[in-house]
Amino acid sequence: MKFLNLRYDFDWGIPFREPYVGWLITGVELTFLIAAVTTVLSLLAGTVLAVLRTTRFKFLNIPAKIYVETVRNIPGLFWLLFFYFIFPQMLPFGLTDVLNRYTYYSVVAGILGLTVDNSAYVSDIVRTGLLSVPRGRIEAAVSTGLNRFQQIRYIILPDAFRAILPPLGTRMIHNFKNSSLCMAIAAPELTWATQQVESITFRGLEVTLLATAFYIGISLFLAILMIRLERFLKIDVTSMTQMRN
Amino acid sequence: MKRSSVIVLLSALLLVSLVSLAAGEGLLDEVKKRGVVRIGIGNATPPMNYIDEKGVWTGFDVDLGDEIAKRLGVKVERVLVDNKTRIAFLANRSIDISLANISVTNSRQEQMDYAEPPYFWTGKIFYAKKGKFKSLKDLGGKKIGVDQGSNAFIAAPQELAKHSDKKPEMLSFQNSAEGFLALKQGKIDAYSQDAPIMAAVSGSLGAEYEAVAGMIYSPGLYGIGVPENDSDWRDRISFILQDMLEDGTYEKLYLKWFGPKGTFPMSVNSRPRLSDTYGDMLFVWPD
Amino acid sequence: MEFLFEQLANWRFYLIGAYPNGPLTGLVLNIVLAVLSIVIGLFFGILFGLGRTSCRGYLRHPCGLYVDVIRSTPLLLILFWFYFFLPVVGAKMPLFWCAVISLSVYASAYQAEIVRAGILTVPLGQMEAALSTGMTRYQAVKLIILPQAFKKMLPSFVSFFNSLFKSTSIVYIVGIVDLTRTGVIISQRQPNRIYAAYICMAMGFWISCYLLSLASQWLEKRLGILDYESYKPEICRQDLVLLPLPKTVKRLLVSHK
Repeated sequence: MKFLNLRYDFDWGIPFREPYVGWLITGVELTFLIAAVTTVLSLLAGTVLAVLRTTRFKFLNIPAKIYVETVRNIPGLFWLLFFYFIFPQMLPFGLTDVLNRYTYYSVVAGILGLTVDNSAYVSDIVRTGLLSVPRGRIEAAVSTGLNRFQQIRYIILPDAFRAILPPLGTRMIHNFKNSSLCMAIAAPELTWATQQVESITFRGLEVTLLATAFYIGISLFLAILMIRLERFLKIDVTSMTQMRN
Repeated sequence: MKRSSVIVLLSALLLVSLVSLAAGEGLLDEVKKRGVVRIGIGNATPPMNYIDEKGVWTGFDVDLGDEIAKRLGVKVERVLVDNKTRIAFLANRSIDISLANISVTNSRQEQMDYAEPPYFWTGKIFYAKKGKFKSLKDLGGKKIGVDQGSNAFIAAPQELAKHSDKKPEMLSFQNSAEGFLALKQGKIDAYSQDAPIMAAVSGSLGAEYEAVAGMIYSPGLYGIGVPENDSDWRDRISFILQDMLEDGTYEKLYLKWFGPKGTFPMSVNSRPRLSDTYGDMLFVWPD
Repeated sequence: MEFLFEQLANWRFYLIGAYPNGPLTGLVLNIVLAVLSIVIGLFFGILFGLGRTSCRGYLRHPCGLYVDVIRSTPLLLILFWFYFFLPVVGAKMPLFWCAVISLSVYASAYQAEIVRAGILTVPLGQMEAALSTGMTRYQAVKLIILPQAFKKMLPSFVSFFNSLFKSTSIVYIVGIVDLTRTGVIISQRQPNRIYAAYICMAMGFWISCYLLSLASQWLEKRLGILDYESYKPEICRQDLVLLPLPKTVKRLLVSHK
């Protein structure tokens, strides 16, 4: 294949040869695992943080605010390195060794780091949603005799989640893409696998093409899924933005 | 309207000029004409190349590169490479010389050529806590860390297979310093890298660590990488290196870095030489 | 604690490294990368953003494709593409410019979305009013539409700049000595200073990002923020058509909605 002075002969056998194919498959699995677990964890953590931030009790909302402000202003990569190298050393004796000896600690650290990073953004989004629930809905809930927990559980959160679904979806796609950062801490996810193939065979173009296609495909798939979900939940996107044509 | 199209045209031109197509002539003429030699050097492997506490890019490779450029009579442009790009960049001619602690190996020979002789002679060790492992046999089935892009990823399991049936678990890090930190924290049981690099990376903590069984298991003879099939260029660099060895410049550099009063004093002799300590291993390139 | 002060006394290494006697490293490098790429990204972002609101399918769809593809690719992989594989087609450039270009490409896609969302907030009547005063379409876009849109976009730009600034830390992975790597270098060279080094690294990012987020919050309060990230169905702005086309061509290409 020669065009544009291309100094590269494609060998499409490489991605399908042992052991490279094994690395790539593990990489895809781990990428999915990291993305799925961090999505669930950061949704939970973000929601809790957002609820804490909207309460009136200072001893609850100030720590939550400090957490969010700290995490949001520091890059995700820092949190990955922090959880890989620093966090186990801070634990009381015994736990340090347990974590460090664990073979897949890099994956655990990746999940922890990305969750911490993502939860702050999720909490921001959820908080916006909570604040956007009309006062009247809450008053109506109070008047039907629901207690505070029931109000949050049955009225405010469902309403808020519907309103924030679009930005939340974008955030989760971000999170999926961010899983590639885990290669910095030796977690054998997909981007790491492509680099590993490159470093052994010196031919990384094929695998990187495949990996890029994979990321684009999954991201677009998730984006379309979110649109379907929004339609299913009858969120009128057009009414939320100013549209003139 | 006109102004905007001029801007578009200018930006297009800028892009095209960035995409400068390489000429087909020999590299030696090209470098002479350009007046600049592009040397690929890493920045994460003390003592060969690293960023010091003041933020200065330094190391043995850096000094050697400067000297080569001086002898070529051209300016030096240092291009930052890492363990993965130091060979890829040569293959696609982003750099003219790769001076980034590249051990000569068989698989690399297919991608690049080396100036003769290899400029630094050392070897790979398994680095671990003192007294933890008696022999290489104990390393079977353990977690071994390597640099991503180091040939230890291939050489270490090969060597361990000779001693033990249990397969080691390989983890690859972005650079030796991260790997050493992981070793220190017990995330891996041993780290495999060239001896002087491990000594420099561990620094003051070196006293707590040792090479397992005190042995070098695979030769790491660092070559100056040059692009494939350009014998004029390769010979020119080889002659420069040989001149430096002959007139004492190399010795001066070596003492500056590794001599008794050097930055990283080293008791083992790593100068290029005829076979003595390496015995049979010398001319058997690792995979 | 005294380790932390000792590290703070070493501020030069974290901020600029050996510059001007050596390569620029540290926090200032992150800032330079972010500023350069947001400026270059803005230029292309406006082009792609205008393209994405164009009613001409042959402009809108390629721009849309570009934005979608770039936004679906991890920044790390964009960086690898420019770092490893641009040289394969014969393009050579220093690592610093690789980083700037890949960050610019990344930024341009997001900024195109901001520009698009901003343009869509400008009422249609503005164009008609501008044209009726005798302006050309180009003048109207430049003097009437874009300035109004920019006012709406500004808070989004500042908050995107904040996120881009944080993203510059990934150049760490290809070996550029940014603030992350300076912290990691110290933590590895002086193992007992590991906490201090990480705290310094975090503080460098935190202070700069916190100032930026204060600025963006202030702007958001004054000007309101655009919801540029969530999906909107494909729409175009008939009034923004810049190039006059012959009527026959127009009939073939422009679908009236």
